[in-house]
Amino acid sequence: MLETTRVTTASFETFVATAEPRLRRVFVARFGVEHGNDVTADVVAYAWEHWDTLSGTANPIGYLYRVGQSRARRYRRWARPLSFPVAPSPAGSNFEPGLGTALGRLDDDQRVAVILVHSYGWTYAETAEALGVPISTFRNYLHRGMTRLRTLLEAT
Amino acid sequence: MSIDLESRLRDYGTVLDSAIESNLASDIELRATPDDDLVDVSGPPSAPRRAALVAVAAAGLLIGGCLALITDHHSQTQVPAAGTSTEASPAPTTPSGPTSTAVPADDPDTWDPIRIAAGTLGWFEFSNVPDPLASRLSGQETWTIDYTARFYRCSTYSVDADGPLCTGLSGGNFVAPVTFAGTGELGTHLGDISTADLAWTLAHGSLWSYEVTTAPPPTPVAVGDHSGVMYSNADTSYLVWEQAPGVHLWIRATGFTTNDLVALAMTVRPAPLPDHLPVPLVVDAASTSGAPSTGDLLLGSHHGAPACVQINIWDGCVSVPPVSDVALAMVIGTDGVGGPLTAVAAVSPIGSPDRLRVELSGYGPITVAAIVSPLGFQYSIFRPPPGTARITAAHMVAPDDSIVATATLTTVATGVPTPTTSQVAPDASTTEATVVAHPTITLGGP
Repeated sequence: MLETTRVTTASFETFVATAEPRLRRVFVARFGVEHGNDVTADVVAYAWEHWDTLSGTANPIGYLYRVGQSRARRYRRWARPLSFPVAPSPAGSNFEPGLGTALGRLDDDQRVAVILVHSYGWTYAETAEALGVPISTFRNYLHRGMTRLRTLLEAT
Repeated sequence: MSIDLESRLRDYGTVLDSAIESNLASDIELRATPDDDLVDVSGPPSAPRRAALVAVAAAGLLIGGCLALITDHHSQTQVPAAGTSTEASPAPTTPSGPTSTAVPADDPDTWDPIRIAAGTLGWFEFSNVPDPLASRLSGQETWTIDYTARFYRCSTYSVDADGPLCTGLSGGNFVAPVTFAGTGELGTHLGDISTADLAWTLAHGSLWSYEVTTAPPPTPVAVGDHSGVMYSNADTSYLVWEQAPGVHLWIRATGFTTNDLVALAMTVRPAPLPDHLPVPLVVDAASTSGAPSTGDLLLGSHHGAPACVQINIWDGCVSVPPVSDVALAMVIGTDGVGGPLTAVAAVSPIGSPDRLRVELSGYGPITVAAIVSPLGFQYSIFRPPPGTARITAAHMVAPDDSIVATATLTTVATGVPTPTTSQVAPDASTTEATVVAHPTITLGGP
């Protein structure tokens, strides 16, 4: 029967299990919590739809990052806010109150670099690969992002 | 004040993960107010979050319809080989008044549906699987047109009063229309490929994030009157056979013996296709195998937008010139997002004397002949043989060698590139005589 139902495959689920958490952190760093979650869902759907293309891609995370940036245009059209937590989680003891706001004021690439490296412990190579930029470019993002973040926080 | 920024960022990762989980769990609108735990740093409160992204995509697919076209034909490109036809470069003319013919398409992979002829082969399904095999396919059989149709293209079609009628699909591309919760999958691949190549592509694992490095020998297996092969990778087996010329079917199953797989294969029947499918028409195929290629020139429409042409899913879509409009559509194809240029095409009204001129590194310019498409326009497309030359410029030139339009050969760094065309407004006195009216390509819902 040609019924419209959700297709799942074990193989695709394997891919998603590996890539989706990383993609989610990239997109949340880039677009904020709410947008990032939505873009991640979009991109996972895209990955399924274009599995043949992705299979031949050397850097699927970087590829999907670019897809996500394209997909995020719809959210920007809707003028949806870029959201980052400003209150600590229950376990947060070393929380900087202005950090969420300051992160949101960084340039997009700088913010992604800062969050992935310092909040999530990604290596420079991993992050540069995800962003699809040379490591030298990535180092500039990170350095400038940390400098500006420090300036923003010290000003508050 | 000096702060331990690195330490606080490290802790912020935990906070961020907690917010992510909270957002996923609640699936409710998070607004930025002074009392909220999220801050709005860039705009007004958000719109409600979409509950089902795939459902949204599916809704988009239901818009649209068919194209008013002319005849049954699938033309092949006739392009000169690089360096075989050279001529003097035209005197450079600076285009003025650049305009873009790009159609906004934030889902360029989502096509409006076109009619499908009854009896067209698309995909297959299991039919009356006997016990105990049926009980071993755990879970419910699932299938969705929303995903599947986008892996297929319409490679042959006819036209009647209601527009194009697709009579032949190509594609498949290793996606399984029928799955049983991971215990088994049934896939269809339309287009020339050897049975062994398809089996190996499926079995060796690169599609699924793992890979074996040594090809196991394929096991010849007969499926009724058809010859097939089987590969095994750990406890998963892949049986592939050619059901009809250009129609390969494959089953992936875990924990099934060869005899089990053959018994399953014997139950496979063509699935009745819906009367409309969201697939593009192949205007010009990059290869003669019948299988989809990233270099195909495609025609379709998106979300009710005018019909447009594009080469790759990531290269955007450019509207087809309407009747009496001498505007030109130039499109490019790249090897992946932002990758090297692999093709350039130009679309113009039938009868236009303008020609595509491509400049290649290390070669003289090449003028590409126009091909009249039964779809109501003419086009030129050039794909340099791999590794032989690089396209450095592409223009549409008038008979007097003046440049009419220039393709922008760069792609947008973020996301889907948007091809653009810089145009020179032609002299009306000369263009009126050359434009031959052709049907307006319009859309209609199924």
